[in-house]
Amino acid sequence: MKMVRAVIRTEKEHDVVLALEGAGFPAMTKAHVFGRGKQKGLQVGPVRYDMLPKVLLLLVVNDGDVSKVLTVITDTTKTGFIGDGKIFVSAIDEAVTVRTGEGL
Amino acid sequence: MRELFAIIRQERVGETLEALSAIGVDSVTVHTVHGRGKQGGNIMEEVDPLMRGNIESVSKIWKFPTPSSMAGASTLTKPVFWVPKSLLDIVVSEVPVDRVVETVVRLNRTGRPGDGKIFLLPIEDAVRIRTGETGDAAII
Repeated sequence: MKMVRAVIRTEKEHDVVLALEGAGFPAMTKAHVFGRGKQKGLQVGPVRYDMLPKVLLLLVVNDGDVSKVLTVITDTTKTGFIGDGKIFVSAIDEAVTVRTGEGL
Repeated sequence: MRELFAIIRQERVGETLEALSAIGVDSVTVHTVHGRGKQGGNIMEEVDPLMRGNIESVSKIWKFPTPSSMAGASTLTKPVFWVPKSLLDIVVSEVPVDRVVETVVRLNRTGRPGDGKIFLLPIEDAVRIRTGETGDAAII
């Protein structure tokens, strides 16, 4: 199993969730976060934004589905401008459903 | 060293933290998050007879659940697209992971959907910032 953490634009959140659900991945967790990247925020005229609001989506999927999930997320959130976000994938060695107490 | 993400009901956080403390897990980071599972949110089956049995997913009813789209609906309760949850982030080394999982499951299990998930992943290293200790010493 793999955990996919996607930091995306806030305005794209709903599109991504519906696209993922359409692709068969309805389960996820989201958190509203603030972050910055290589450009250290955003400069608009004299105003500098150190941290920009983003949405962090957290999904756990089977190994074989990771590329599909990544494709869905990138296709939906890509605008081509700076600030589209990042996706991180890490390994999960065990998962438990609390309702049953068993592994997925 | 293992990291444990437990996504649980918000109202159970207090009891869970107490129970974890009793088995020697004192260090926990709690995030307030929103989640959705297989059902795609909460359709309030238990309180709304109209919702019972025949609806698979929340977003199939409301593709874009905005206050205005919900205003015209004639059901008792409105489906919730995102359910508020708490995410407990725990890194353990000394206490057996099985014991932590068993404790979280015991305190959070109601048998109904929405009890949550637990994910376990390996952690390579940890650093205590105050002293610079690394490895197991950093989190004991």
